[in-house]
Amino acid sequence: MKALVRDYLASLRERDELDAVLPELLGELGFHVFSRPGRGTQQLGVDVAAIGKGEDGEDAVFLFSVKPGNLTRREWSNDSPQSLRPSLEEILDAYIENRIPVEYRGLKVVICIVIGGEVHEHMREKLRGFFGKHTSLKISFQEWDGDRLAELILRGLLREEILPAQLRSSFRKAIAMLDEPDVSMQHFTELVRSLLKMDKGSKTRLRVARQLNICTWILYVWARGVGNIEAPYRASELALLATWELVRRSIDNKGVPNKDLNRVLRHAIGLHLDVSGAFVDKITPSVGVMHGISAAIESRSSLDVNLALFGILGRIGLWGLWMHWLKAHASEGTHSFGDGFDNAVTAGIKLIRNNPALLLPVSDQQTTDIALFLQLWLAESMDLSEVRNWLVEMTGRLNYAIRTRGHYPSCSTDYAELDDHQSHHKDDEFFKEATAGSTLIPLIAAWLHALGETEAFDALAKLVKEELDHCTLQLWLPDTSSEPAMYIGGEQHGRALTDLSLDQGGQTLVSTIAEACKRTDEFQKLSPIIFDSWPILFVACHYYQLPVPANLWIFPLLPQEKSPPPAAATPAPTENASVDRATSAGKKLGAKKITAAKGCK
Amino acid sequence: MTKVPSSREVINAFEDGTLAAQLATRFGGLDSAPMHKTAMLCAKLHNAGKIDLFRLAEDGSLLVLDDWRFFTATNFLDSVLPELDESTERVMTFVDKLVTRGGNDGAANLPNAAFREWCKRAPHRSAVVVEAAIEGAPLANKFLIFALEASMDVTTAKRIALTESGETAHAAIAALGRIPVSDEVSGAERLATLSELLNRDPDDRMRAAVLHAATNMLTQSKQRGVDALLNVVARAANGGEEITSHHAAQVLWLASDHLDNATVAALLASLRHLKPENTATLEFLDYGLASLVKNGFVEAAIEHVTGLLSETDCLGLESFDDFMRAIGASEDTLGEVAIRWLQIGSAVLCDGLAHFLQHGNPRGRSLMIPAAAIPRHVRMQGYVCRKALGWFFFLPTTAASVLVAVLREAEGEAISEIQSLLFDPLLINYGGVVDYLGNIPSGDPVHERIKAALALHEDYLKGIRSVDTIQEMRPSEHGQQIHRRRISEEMRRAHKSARKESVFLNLVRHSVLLYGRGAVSFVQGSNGMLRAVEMDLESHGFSMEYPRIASLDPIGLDYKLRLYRAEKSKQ
Repeated sequence: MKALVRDYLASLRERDELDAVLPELLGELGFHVFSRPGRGTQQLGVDVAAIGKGEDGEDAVFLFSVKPGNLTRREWSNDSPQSLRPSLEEILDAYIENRIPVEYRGLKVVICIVIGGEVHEHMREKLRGFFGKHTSLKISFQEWDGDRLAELILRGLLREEILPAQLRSSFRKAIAMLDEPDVSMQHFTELVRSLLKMDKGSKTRLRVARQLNICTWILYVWARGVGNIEAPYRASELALLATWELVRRSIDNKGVPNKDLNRVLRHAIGLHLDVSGAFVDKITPSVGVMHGISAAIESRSSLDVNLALFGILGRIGLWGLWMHWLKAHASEGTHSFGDGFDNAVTAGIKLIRNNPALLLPVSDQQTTDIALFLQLWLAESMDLSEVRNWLVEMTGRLNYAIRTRGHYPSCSTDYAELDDHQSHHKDDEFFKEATAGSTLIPLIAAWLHALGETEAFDALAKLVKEELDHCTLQLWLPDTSSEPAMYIGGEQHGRALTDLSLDQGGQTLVSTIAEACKRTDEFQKLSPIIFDSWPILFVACHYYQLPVPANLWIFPLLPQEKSPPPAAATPAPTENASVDRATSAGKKLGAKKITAAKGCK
Repeated sequence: MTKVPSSREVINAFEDGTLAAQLATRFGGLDSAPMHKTAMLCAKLHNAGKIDLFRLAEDGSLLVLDDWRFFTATNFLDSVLPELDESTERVMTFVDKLVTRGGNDGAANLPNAAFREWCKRAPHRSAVVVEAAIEGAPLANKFLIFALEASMDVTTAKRIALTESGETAHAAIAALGRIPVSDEVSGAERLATLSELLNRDPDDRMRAAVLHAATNMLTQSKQRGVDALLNVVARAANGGEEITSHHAAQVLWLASDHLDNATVAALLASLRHLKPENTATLEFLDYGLASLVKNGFVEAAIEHVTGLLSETDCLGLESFDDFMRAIGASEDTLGEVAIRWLQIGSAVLCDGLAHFLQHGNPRGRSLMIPAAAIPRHVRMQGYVCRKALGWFFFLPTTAASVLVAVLREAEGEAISEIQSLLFDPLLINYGGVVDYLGNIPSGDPVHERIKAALALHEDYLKGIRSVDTIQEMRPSEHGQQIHRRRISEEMRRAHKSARKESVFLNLVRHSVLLYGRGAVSFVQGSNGMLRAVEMDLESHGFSMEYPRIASLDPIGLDYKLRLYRAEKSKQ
């Protein structure tokens, strides 16, 4: 386990990565962190500042200067302001004098250099020399290398008492099986569920959140090393949802969540965006190549190609939605996330154009991926021609596939059944079973109507009437059972909006859906909506492959109602005071910028 | 075997009821000379009343033998029969039983030849049969033809044909065809009789009998037929129904080398509305069409098949495999037929042609299409190429050969269209087509035109190769196993189904080897010593190129091919 953590620490590349871990680690070890890593502001050599127990058992001010990787001569002293020696000199000359809060000025100061990797032997003398020269009664130095950090992590966040052997085993297996993401996720999911069960109160809750964060980080860094970040992608979604669940549980009777947990949540979002960004960065350079991404999946099975492509499209959609949300919540001086959003849209369009498998899904469950990508158009009013072409072509293909009993979408979610579809698709009984229900058709139909594509809508309605009389057209809406189950999964929740019909035309269809959405305020009561963190909802739908609730997309499709996009959505007026309080608290939650959002190009 | 049995042995066998079996296992297996001696012995004993060979059929002991033994015994009895002194009735009854037991086997009718020989031995025998037939005896009617053949009594045959009706008349007509023509006058007289019968607007059976007789006279002549005879054949075929059609098909098969264009046309016309359930006629027609092709009536044969199959979907080209093999013997002819059928666009013809071209070559046979067969109209050139892709897509070499042939002669906008088609969907799906195109000599005028398509293909491949594998999206090991298991199961079922259609597997004994790379077994030699028989196993494999787009966009590919197939020519 130590080797695992040690290698993880040594592999951390960016300052931000080690910075992200350290404060949580210190918090878990009993330190009180009063200054955290920040961008743009002058740090004067100090990345993290905290109050903790010194070697003499007394409180001391610990000033941490973080250097990822190994400490070499180059890292010690070169022209770069990021090299260590200048940072230490800045601490001695400026920080200690001017930045330590007044209440801590009487305490001793311990300057800690935090090295992710090792200190090279030839550097030891220099380090000792420097330490010796500047040590005084008030000021002392410590060296926290990768070995010590790993030890601290294992004695802290991942100690035996709070991460028992069985969970450590699950975690090790998750890492060992990174090149088999399904297996890795099985173990990681077990770890997450077990950790959630350990939530007994606010203190354990914070620790669990930190553990989730660091475990996900370790998984990600290892996965980077093997060149396959699929498991950490999914793990980051799960960890984010689990952390949201912990945040949700921490909401007090004033409707305010715990601020420490809030901070860990931001780290979890940051990590998720890191992994997502890395994934999107892998894909986007090749979306303009004809069949490029399809061929890169390296499978002879058209089922695998189809599943993978829609999976990619869904992730691009989710990424674009996060960028849109960040744009609305970023504070001044941070990255512009508009480009990230535009890139997501462009990438998605090119992906569809050059990979024709995206013109019809093979499973109804992929409707979620389609809905996520369509949501981008609703987030910002954009030219609809590409969407129009896509959906009209999809309708045509659906028509063709159903009538010829070809590769029509199945409502099965089991891989073996979907694979078997290739052999039995012409069988009538099989067809009826495979098309017993559809969320795809109502979604496409509503959009076709909104786009004014009457001919395509009518063709779809005719298809349903002639070939899919047995099919339950449906959508999904959250209800009171959704909030407790949405983020941790495991149980069915919400309500199916069934027996939707295309017979009466598109206007009736969209009106019916809108009416169903207005019927209750359960959607508005979902915590991500209350706290203006609606991307969490999309993450939950994506991870658990739930249909995107119609509440999020139906109103902009109605002809007269120009409801604002979800990013600026305000909760529906209600007499429920707790919700009002939560709303104002949500504004505080949503307002914090995400500093770890990288890869926004 | 050379040992001739003694009289005592034969009599004993008859008395203890084993004579039938002995005929099969012992006498029938003798070498020629001893068998003749044994046959004479049996005949002598029968005529002396010591044994009764006919009782072997009456008591069933001969008829219950298995096929192999039965035909061996019958073969022996055929050589005995002409020597027997018996009443005509008894002989006819005996022979009838043998023929009936023989069923549909090719050797079933040989006892009839023995009966003919028997009739020849004594002239009155034929007369008895003729008289009985005229009086309406059903059994005599069956043997009338042989009796008339034996007596070579053309005059009586003519008389019966013109005056009698039913089976009696038919048998006489058949005899007119089979009795060798001794001179021109005799031939002309018979022809006149047949012509007279046709003048009477005969029913289908009579017409068929006339046709059959005329054909026999034709094949006897061993040269191209006399006009008058050919005219009778043509007249007989015209206006007939199922039975006549059946005989018409037989004529085409057996006598094509004696026919002229008009007679061929008349015979084919009678087969225009052939019913699919008339499988025997269909089979003869297939042989007949193949024979027409071999004897120079290529266009007539092709036209007939084209017309027949484009008007119906109850028949398929698989019913004409002999015809197709005859067509396929000439590269030019096959190429012309392919273009013609693609232009017509009939699903039955094109699909059948695709199956034919697949035989023995999973990538399909390369077609050599003469320039004269390529349509001149620009739109038709594109149309033919699309059709070729629609029907021959899974035979990439065949499809490529058609496109290359058309591209060679193409003009104007057709050039770029065909180049485009060569790239997508052909090259984009089958990298192996590059090898085929690479074999086109640089001196060929089409060589330059192909380069554009190859360049598009190269760019496409460059693009795909520039994209690294996306590890994150690769299918899981579990998913791959599921997929492999399904494919394996499908292959297993296909293999099992194919084995059921094998003509060989029912003829041989199967041994299933569980281990080892070979087998050794021991047989007893003629000297009583054990002899080892060893056999090493060799591997046998089959591979085919899978179209790329079938994985990347199966719906798009299916739709495109269906459109190509269903497209109707605007001309």
